[in-house]
Amino acid sequence: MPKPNQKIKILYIDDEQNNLNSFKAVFRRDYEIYTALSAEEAVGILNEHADVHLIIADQRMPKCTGVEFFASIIKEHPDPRRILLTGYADMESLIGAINNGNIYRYITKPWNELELRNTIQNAYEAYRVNQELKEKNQELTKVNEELSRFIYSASHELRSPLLSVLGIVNLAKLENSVVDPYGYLNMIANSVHQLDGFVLKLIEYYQNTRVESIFENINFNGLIKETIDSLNVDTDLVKHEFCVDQEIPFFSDKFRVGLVLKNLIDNALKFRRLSEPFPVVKIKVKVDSENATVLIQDNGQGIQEEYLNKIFTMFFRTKIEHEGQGNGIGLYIVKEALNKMNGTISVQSTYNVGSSFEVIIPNIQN
Amino acid sequence: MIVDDSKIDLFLHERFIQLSGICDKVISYNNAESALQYINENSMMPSELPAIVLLDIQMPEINGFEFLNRLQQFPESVRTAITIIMVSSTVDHTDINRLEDYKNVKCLLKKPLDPDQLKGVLEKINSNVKVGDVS
Repeated sequence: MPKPNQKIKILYIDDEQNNLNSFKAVFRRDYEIYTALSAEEAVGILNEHADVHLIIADQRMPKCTGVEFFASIIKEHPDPRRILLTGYADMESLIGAINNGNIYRYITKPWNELELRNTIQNAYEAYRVNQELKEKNQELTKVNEELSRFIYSASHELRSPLLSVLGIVNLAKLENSVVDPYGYLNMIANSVHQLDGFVLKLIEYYQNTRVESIFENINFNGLIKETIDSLNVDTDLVKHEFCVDQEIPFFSDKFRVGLVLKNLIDNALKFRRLSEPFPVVKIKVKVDSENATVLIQDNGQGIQEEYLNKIFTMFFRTKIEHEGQGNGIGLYIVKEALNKMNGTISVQSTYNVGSSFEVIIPNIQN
Repeated sequence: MIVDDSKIDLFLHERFIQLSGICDKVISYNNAESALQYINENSMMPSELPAIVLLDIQMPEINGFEFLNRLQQFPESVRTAITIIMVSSTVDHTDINRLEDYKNVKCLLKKPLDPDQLKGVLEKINSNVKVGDVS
């Protein structure tokens, strides 16, 4: 990034030595000036002084026009702003060059000092803003990557000792080696499970941001069965039923579709209403050539109206009034995964009656 | 044989195996290098080779996959004598899919190890192994 109070570095190319001399004479005190009589010489200077801020070139030069010169260096030296000096007769080529985005401004010859000076200042400002943006972007990419890596390794490092604790509890139970009349071991196991659940959600979040999309044919019947199996549903506690209307192939990102289903079904199971004697989760899928529409309905706790627009926010939780509390990540992951697939979600819910989530995911036929 | 960088997990898995009553000898290593060295030193003595290796995936220096790759460089007599059970906390799909490429990997068990599940798998492998080869 250019330092404050640094002189603006300008490379000026013109095949007439007189023009170079007069430019230098006017601006030498204010700017650091490099001059070249030909395109070849200019490229040499650019290679040596990669930090040149602005390039001014005459359009009419014998071997190579100013526009051609700019086009030839844009790949190797994209950063310097480019200013073209030209007579009125060169309008045609000028329009093309400006439209191609190769040139910041053009100045008609003979130039007047005030106009050129203003143009140089403006061009430099544009250069500076562009550089700053570029650096901010690089910084952001780096921070983002570090954050993801941090989440990933922290999650793994957090999980292993937790799973060891669960292992010890299992062993103690198996050996019957701990006197535990009040069920403390189960309390330990439950707390550890809860923490592990949170860490697993962090990993899911990480996977959603990082894992590349792979589009494949998705069979909803199979995917929903797999998902429900992976959730270890206690079928005595909550009934589930699903009906899939899929006559044509559905192509999408299987990992993320699975993530959405898993979190929504998990919520429907988890937030059942204790006063409801027959908790049930209903899943309906309809696939057409455009979309898959997934409806997940429960007769659970429901969501109070004032919270409905906040539930997809990271770490948002409603007041804890029931057991089986959430960690505020599940629906955020759902929303993020759907964003990646250009899908949408809508929710209808009545407190103490139940919730219904409708998800629409585009069918990527190609 | 058990290979796991966590000493607690080594102990736990050793106990689970003992309690299952299926294996009469367990060798534990908290790093893959020493485990490979043991296999190398006993490569000519089939009776000393482990019939089953419980292998962790995430370990410093040599991880589970590198262990499997190194194992493939051993002579066939060694490779076929050993059946691998991966034991890991991984939820990484690429990890899980990668395991399909290894012929002597029997299955992946998730941590925390479920003693009954482990017992089932050990019994299944055991029924295919000659008496005397059990480590």
